[in-house]
Amino acid sequence: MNRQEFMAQLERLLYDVPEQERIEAINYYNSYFDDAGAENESKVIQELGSPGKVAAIIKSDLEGSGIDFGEYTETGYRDERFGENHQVPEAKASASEHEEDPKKEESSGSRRSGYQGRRQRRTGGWALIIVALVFASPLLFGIGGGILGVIFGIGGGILGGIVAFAGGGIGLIIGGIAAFIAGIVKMFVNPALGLAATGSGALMIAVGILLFLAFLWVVCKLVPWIVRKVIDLCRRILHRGKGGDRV
Amino acid sequence: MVFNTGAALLDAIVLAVVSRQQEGTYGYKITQDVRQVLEVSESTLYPVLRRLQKDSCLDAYDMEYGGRNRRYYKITERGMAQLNLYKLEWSSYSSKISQLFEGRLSV
Repeated sequence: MNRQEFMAQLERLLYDVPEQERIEAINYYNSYFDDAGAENESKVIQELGSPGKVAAIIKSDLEGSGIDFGEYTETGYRDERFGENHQVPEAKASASEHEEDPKKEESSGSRRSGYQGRRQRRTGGWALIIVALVFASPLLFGIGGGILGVIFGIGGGILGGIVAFAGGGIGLIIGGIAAFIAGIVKMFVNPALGLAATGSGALMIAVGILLFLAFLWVVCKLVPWIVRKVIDLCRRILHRGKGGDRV
Repeated sequence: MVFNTGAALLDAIVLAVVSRQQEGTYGYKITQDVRQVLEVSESTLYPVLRRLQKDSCLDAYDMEYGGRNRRYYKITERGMAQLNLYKLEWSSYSSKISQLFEGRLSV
C-alpha cells in the first residue's frame, strides 16, 4: 500500500463523519506524509497502521468525547476495539465494530442486572403469592378461622382445666378445713356425725391438696413445656421459609 | 515502559511539547517530539490535537511551507492554564508515589 492508496482508503472510511472533520483529518495526514518526506512513506504507513485503524480512532474520538476507552501503552495506543486482529478494512466492518462496543459494556452490566433480575423474579414470586392469598382469602379465612377457633378452643379448655384444678383444689381445701372444724364442733353433740364430718373434711383437704399440687405441676412444668413446643414450632416454620430462600 | 499513559497525561504531554515552540509547531514534529519521551502510535496524536484544538487549548493556523500549506499548532492562554494545572497535578501525583517508593511517606 502506498500513500495514495492509504489516503484514498482513509477518506472512504471517513465517509460518515462530518465533512469538516473529514477534511481536517485528510489535510492532517496529507501534511504528515509531506513532512515525513517521501523516503519515510512506507515507514509512516507501517507506523500508522491500517487506514481502518486510523479511521476508527478518529471516529471513536468524535463519538465518545470524554469517554476514555483505550490506553496508551508502550506499544502505542491500546484499545480493545481497534486491535490489529480485528481490523476494520471496510467501512461496514467499522460500523459493526462500533456496535460491538455497547454490547461489550452491556455484557459487563448484564452480570449485575442479571443478579437484580433474579431478585426481581423472587419479589415477583412473593407478589404472586400475595395475589393468590388475596383471591383465596374467603376460603382461607374460613379454614384459617376454623383452625384458629380450634386452637383457641383447645387453649381455652386447657386454661379452664388448669384454673378448675386450682379453684377446685383451693375450694376443696377450704371446704375440707371448714368441714373438719365443723366436725370437731359437732363431735361434742353427736360424736358419730362429727367424726364423719371431720373425716370427710380431711378427705376433702387431701383431694384439694392433690388438685392444687396437680395445678402447680401443670403451671410449673406443663405450661413451660407447651410454650417451648409452640415457640419451637413457630421457629421451625419460619426457618423453613428462610431455608427455602437460601436454596 | 510498563506504565500506561492515560488520555489526560497524553494531553498534558502534547500541550507541553507544543508550548515549547513559541511560533507554533506542526503535526509531524509534534509526533516525533512526543515519541522521544513516550512510545505512542503515530495515529494516536491526531485525535488528541483535534480535541485540544476544539477545547481552545490549541490554536491551529495554516502557513506556507515549501510550496504547500502546513498546519501549525500554537498553545493558547487557555491551553497554558490547562498545562499548568496538569503540571501541578503531576508534581503532586508523582511526588507522592516517589515518596511511597522511597519509603519517605508517613502513613
